[in-house]
Amino acid sequence: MIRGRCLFRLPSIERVSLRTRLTKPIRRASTQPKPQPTTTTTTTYPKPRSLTRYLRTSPRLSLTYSFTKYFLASALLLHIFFEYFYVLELAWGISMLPTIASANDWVLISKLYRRGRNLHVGDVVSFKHPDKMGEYAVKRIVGMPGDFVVEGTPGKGGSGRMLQVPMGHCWVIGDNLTWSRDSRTFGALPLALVTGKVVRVFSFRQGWRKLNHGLQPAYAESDALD
Amino acid sequence: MPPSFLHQPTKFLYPAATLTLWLTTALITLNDNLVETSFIQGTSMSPSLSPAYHTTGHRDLVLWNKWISHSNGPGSLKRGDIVLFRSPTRPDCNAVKRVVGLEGDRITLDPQRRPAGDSSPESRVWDAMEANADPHGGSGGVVVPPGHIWVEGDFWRKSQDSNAYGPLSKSLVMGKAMLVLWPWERCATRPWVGYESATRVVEGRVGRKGDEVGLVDAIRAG
Repeated sequence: MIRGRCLFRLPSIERVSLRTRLTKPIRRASTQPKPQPTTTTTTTYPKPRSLTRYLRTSPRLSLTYSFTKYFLASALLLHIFFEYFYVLELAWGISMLPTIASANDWVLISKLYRRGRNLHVGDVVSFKHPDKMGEYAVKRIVGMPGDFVVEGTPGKGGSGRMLQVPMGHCWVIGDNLTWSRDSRTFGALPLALVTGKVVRVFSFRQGWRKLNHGLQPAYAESDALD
Repeated sequence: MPPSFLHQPTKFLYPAATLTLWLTTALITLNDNLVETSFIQGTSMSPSLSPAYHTTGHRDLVLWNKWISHSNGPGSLKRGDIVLFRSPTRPDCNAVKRVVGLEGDRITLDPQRRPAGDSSPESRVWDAMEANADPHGGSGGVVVPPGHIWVEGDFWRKSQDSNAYGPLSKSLVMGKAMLVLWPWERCATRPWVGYESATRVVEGRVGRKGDEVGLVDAIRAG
């Protein structure tokens, strides 16, 4: 009745509501009695609903659930990425000085080289310290298993004895020979302690930089070398 | 018609892939940080673990606690513990041995446990340790340096342990044995408890500041 007299078009929601109101069945006195439902003893259970549909009933519950889910997922994936692929860590100390600064240098460690896989002499590696549990160090590999290395510092005293690096071990030395505690202190390093190879160094001043091989063939200035 | 795998493959593939991804990532993270299970191969830990390995080949499944302390506090390694560690000679292999000595301890080398062979690298390492055995205190033996432990297998006849490669770095240790899970008869038991190692160990003073004490001991020993 209103609909017929209205000059303007009503918004769709109201139209719908009006239509539903109008299309409601009109209760009339029926001549035939309704069939009475037979009483049966059936237990009714609530319709099973999924967890997400249940959580949708409360906005607070839903928010907590999705937050937890995404937090857990990112934590798991980040752990796997840091443990098995790449990790960026802040290096500290003077033992690798010409190559890595004593502070404010970040090293990108590739975990694909963990436990000595595909490593060669001259690579800079990160490893768990064999003497101090929970500490990590970065040094350069000078000898791989089977290689012969000098026990002490060349030209700085020491016995000058040659050692053969045992199976499954490597010999690591810092680039800053005078101020570095390395294989000269703790002996051959088990390759199982190597956590990865340093592939890039980052600092805010110089940006990203690659690492040079660091070991060049030695040239004698005179032939008087016995 | 009910939805089936053939009619709507994506409806089943997507949840299945999600579930697989969740389970895999969670399992890897759990194995790296909290607990791990592994079978004990070989006879080196018999009679404590895998005692029937040399006859029937049955292996024990052991649950490892990987949340171990990095210090010398109450939760750290003790003498008699069974540890899982990366082999120092083969980097991609794991090994299982018993902790016999902690840092600062003096181990008397047992000639029975000398690695076989006259000129094998292992026996040469053992001979060098025997030759450098510290006469300090009149007892001789090898002093375990700071940050290291002395590990030995229970089966002295065949065991690749500290007698072959010297003291083991604690950084190599990945976990400590909690329980045996399989076989069913020995499930949830700890058969290694109570085993008395025949190796003579003079215990060093490892207090709360064990690092410093061990270092002092090592310096004193030369």
